[in-house]
Amino acid sequence: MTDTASSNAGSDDTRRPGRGWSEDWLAVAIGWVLLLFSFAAVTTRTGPGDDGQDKITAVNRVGDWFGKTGDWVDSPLEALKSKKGDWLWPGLLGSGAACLLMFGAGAKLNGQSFRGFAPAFAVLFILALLAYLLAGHKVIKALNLEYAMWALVMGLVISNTIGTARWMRPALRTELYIKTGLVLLGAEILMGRLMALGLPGIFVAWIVTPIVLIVTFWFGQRILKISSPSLNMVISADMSVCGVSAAIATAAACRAKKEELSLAIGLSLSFTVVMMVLMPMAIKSMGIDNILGGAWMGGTIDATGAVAAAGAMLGPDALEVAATVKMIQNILIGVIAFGVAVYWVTYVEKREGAGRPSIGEIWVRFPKFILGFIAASIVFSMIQGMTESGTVVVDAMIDGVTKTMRGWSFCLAFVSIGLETNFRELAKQMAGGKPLVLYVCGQTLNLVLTLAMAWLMFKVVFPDAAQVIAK
Amino acid sequence: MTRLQRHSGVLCLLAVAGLLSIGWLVVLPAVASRPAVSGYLQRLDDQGIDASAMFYTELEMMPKLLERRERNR
Repeated sequence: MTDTASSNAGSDDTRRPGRGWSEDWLAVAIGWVLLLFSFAAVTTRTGPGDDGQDKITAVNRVGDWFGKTGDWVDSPLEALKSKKGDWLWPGLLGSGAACLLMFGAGAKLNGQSFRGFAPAFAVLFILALLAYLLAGHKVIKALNLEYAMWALVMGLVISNTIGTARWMRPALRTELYIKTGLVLLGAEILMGRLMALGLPGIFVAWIVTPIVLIVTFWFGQRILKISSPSLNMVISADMSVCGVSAAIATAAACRAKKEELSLAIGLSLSFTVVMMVLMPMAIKSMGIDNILGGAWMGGTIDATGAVAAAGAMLGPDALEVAATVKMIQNILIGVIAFGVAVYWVTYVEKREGAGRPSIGEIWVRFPKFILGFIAASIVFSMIQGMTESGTVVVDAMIDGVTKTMRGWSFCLAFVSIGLETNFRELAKQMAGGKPLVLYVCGQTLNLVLTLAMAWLMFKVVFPDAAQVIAK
Repeated sequence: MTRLQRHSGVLCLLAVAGLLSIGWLVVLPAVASRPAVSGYLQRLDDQGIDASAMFYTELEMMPKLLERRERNR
């Protein structure tokens, strides 16, 4: 993402803050070092499972070195202890040290001073920790108010009251944190899970979603005439695909401004809270059965956790379908991010009057971190699908380290965005209320098309699918 | 930034910090202790649902669900 409108022009310089490595390749290197480190730390063993049959299990030997805060109700100190009652400090300090080491090395490779980076980063990490504590209250979690929002709030409060100190600037590497987080997220996009619901799931999540995304983007450009195509794309993607994670991925792919990403996330979270309460009520009052209702919610409510919470309000079968449809939609992020990046460098960023850019020009402008992101998805999908112990090994790799570090990367990114954002700049993005109109119109289309497709798939074409799920 | 602006900035920051503290340390725990809310939170916990999950891998319930789906395929 870029700070200024002028840097939306696609100059590769925007991704090279100092000298040395470009931010994209740096993110790929950091992400992959962490992925390989975590993968190498996984050990497997075979032993009798609960049913007495031999079962392969996997353990991540460095899993305890990494962690984040837990949830709490009465005192924030509860968030610093695991469910078993152990202190989480070692994992928190380990994550902080690993982030400092990785991003500090990145700063050094960009010609920055590590001495200038380290103290600023320590303060940034503490702010991210506070954001996790705010997001960890169980009531806040139940409302789907994710850590990304609280990280943004932490930064915004400081930058709009006392101002962001100059000495903090070396650590505000928003793009590097986001891109590294996305490379790590790539390993969680496992193609083998696509068929979890069979063809009905694919039709609901992979056919309707791109149609809604493209039509909403077209509507924003041609009918609403939103001046920023990147704002239009980020809102269209977070509304049609899966909320915050899709917003982050597409914002990085089309180099949206920080304020645009913040606005899109704010819109998505606000509507998600409303939809996760109203949709189960509407489904019950309309007499729609749980399988169809679950598929409808899975395809339309933005956030993954909110989909599960809304599904649970209807019943276990609705929860099962809703969460699975949303998971299949989650997996679509990789394809969407790649498609948006190619579309952007080929059509949106091309010079006025120029023809289609050459392959060489596309390569120069292409955000290279997407390659690391897609490669992670392909490599770990293959490992998961092709070996007997693949699933447990990849799950141990993700659960032990990379998921936690992906969370910290995004959290640091959003604190940085807040620290660099002015409320007035943020308010400007809402000019004329067009983003709100775009979201409402796009979501209306999403609701209609998803219900129609879910009905067609689960009631007309594959009526047996519902009985299999209900087993 | 002038001295006066900095001074008012510090006061604003303290005010926001105070509001957040009251919200998170007083109001939210009181809300969570209401029977209907605590029952709902407990149900989410029991089902392994984190309503604030950003991605499916953050849902505790997912491995069991995937195992079931695998068995039924």
